[in-house]
Amino acid sequence: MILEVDSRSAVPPYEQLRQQVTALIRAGVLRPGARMPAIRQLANDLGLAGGTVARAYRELESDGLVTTHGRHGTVVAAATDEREPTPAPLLRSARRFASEARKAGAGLDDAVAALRAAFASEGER
Amino acid sequence: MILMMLRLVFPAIVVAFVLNRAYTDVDGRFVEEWARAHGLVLSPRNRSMVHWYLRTARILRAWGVLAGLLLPALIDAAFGWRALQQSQPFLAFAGYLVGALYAEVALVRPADGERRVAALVPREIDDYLPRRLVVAQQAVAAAAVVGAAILLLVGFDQGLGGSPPSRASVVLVALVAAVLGLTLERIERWVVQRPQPFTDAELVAADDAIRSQSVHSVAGSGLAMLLLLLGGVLFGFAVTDVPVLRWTMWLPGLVCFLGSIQVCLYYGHRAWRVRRSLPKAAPA
Repeated sequence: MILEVDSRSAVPPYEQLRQQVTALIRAGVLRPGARMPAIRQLANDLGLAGGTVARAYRELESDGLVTTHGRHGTVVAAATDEREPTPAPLLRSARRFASEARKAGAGLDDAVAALRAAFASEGER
Repeated sequence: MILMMLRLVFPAIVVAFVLNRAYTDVDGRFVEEWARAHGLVLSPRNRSMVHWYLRTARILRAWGVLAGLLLPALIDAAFGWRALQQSQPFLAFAGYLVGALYAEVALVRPADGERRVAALVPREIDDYLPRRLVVAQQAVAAAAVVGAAILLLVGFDQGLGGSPPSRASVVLVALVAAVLGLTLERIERWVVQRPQPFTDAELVAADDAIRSQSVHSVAGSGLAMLLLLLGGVLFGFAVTDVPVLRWTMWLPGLVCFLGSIQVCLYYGHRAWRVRRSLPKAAPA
């Protein structure tokens, strides 16, 4: 589970963090109860201001994805009905595709690029 | 004359021994043993980082110890101020702590190129340091403060021959113990939270092992300083006019003094395998 911030992107760093963590939670990689790094740790590692990470965490909390327990830190919230989980058939297809891409020796970036290309060609039809 | 010579020769031998040991090159075998003890698999990428840290930390800690040992004598020679003479062991441990911290700060952790990356895994102090050590620091600090307070309340028996500690020195000991008790854990947390600007597994593992060594050096020397303070307080009871304190406190005081060296050596160089709990990935 790696977070990456592109300092040249037009998307603000806190939003990049929010999007990536949201994706990890929605995909089930970060499961309910999983502890998040402390704000200071993440800010130090990414070379960001503490306020930037704190804002990302606040946004995630307001989305109901994480909960903060004071000194005990931030944890991934239990799944609620309000969330829109990835539909099971779609998850199954994604896993099949990931497995085949791995067998073909493709990395995540290549697999995503192939998926984008497939989506684009579907749209042209 | 002979005594004068001994006073010069003995420190010179100690300095020569410590510096010789500090500057003896950290060879490949030592690095491999250290890595094995920490459960670290060495690779070309992380070996140079580990080698640099082990060599630098050894040199800086040695200079810190020497500075602590020699500072009182230098101050005495320059200003004729002898108040620090009895603090040599305490200052040596303090120098060790500063040296260990400086080595940690001086370590350049290579960033992942232009990418800003971080692993989404918490780093907690308990992953790097046994909880009992943090608790021991606070307990010994509290005991030293309470002991100093009692020492201020009881009277001294002038007929025993020993010189009772001055009120100012007892208050100073209590203050230093309180400050150490309050700040050591913060320093340790600060080391744990220092940047880890890469996600490569080999570098993260090496960094964790190095970080653990730094935290242990700080904790070991910090606890040693606190034990010296507590030992000093307990020995202060040897000249009080309360017989039960006079007869019972010298032994734990002695244990504290001897224990200070033991904890600094044991925890300062102990291999501790970092036990970070990684969140489980979703089943495939």
